[in-house]
Amino acid sequence: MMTEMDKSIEELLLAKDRRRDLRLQKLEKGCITLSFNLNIPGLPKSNDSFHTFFSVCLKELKNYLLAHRIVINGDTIHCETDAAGDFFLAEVIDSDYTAIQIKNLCETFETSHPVGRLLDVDVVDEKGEPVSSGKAKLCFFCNNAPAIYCMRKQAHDYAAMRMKVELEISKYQESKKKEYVCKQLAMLATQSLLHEVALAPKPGLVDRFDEGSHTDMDFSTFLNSTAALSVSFRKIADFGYSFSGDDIKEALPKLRLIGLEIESDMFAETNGVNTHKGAIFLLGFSIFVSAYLLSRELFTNEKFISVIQDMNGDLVARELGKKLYIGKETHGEECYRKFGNKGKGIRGEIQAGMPCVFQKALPVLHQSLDKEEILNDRLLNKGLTQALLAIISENDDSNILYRKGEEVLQELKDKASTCLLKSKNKEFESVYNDLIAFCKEKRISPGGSADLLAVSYFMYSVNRQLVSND
Amino acid sequence: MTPKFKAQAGTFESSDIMVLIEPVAEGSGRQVDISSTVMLQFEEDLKTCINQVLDVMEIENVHLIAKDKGALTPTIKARVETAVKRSLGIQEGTL
Repeated sequence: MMTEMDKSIEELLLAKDRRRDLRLQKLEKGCITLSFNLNIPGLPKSNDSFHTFFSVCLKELKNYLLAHRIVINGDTIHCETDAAGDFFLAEVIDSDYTAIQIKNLCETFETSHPVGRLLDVDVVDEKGEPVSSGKAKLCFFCNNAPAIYCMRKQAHDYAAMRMKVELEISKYQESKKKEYVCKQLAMLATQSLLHEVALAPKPGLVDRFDEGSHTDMDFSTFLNSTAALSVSFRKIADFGYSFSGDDIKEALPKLRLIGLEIESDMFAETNGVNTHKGAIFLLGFSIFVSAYLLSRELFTNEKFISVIQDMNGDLVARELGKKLYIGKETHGEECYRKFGNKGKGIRGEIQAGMPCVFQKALPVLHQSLDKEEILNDRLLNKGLTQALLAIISENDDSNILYRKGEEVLQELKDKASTCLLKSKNKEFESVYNDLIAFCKEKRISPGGSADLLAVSYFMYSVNRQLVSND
Repeated sequence: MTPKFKAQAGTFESSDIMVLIEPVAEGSGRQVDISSTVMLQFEEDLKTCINQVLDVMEIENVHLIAKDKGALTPTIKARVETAVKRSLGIQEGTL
């Protein structure tokens, strides 16, 4: 009677026979063949995690080959998972390389890969001879003796070896996930700034056609400023993703430092005009906290709000109640002194967990955009306009308060509320134009609300693209 | 028993072994040739393992050539067994 082990080995050997037959078929055409599989000790040779890892590495290998102009014939690709594990086999189309040169390049691919020791790229020449570099690979497990030596001697326990393989694979997948999440966060933050400034028409704000109430900046100033910010968003995302301190407040000094750097980059690009100071502050925190929570797979809006609040604590009292700089009072400080709670500005908003974003703008964005698969300009224009109005109707923008006083701010908020009420109404265009004319006439620019709109769209995108809904 | 046909089993895939069998005249004994792409120090292990299979199958007169690509003992035994059966004409397969 055949034991389980014998049966597994028989299946394994049959799978290898089939691989040989496939290679022989390709050989009849007289071409070099290239195969790729994983080195997995013990059985089974594949499972979900190995298979996913294999697919990721195969994609990397294909790009590597393409980059080196080693062309594989797409029509001849054989890729399957059998008893011998995951396997890829293809013909190399007539290239400038000899089989040995291809083998050497593939070895470079293996050795420069973070978990290359688990990857096995084999090259068989036109005559059917496997090409060998003659180098003996070291054992993956002990990294001490040649692999073949440990294999023959059965030097290591299979369970321990497989555990190490699984650990290395999960470490690698984790690093890929980090790369993906941080890249996405930086990209989404940049997108949110671009969509905010492109949105038109807007009351008092710079848009793609109009400078609103501004004379010192226009659309191009915002594009330049956005470009300056975009290159550093990744740094914040990486910092948040990797942050491992016990107290998240420990991240503040470094986060501020990055923020100050970005501010300098912004001013350098805008010739000293403040386009995005508020956005840097809000998006900086939002990227950091999103990355921090996504890395721990803990992201929810509620969790986000509570971490933002933990980080900032009593920010208003701490930073507006006393002087940070010796010298002239800042606008924010003056506003807080004059208007008290109403004048808490952006610090008040963040200390309260960004209610304008989560309670006002996000529900609007979900309602208008969730059902749409592709968010084109028309859809975004509609959704973002609604969200902006929801924010303006609620936000005590300290910039407007400081420059125009309480009455004008209240009038602006009321007008925005009216627009919002009539948003599905024929009258919308006329009341919205009225709001735009009001801002232009009084030279009001709800810049704080524009920053909150960018953050709202960022948070919407994070939820939409990076958070799984199960 | 004495092999009657040329036969082979196995592949050049890694962790496998290619076993070739050539019939020889009655009474010429066993000749086992090994070419390992890996390490010579395992040649004796490999020979012992192959000879064990040949003993069990009572094959005395044979020329066996093994090209090893790092196969483990169960694989070596299975490949030798298949090659021998093919050379005796009792199992279908290559050659």
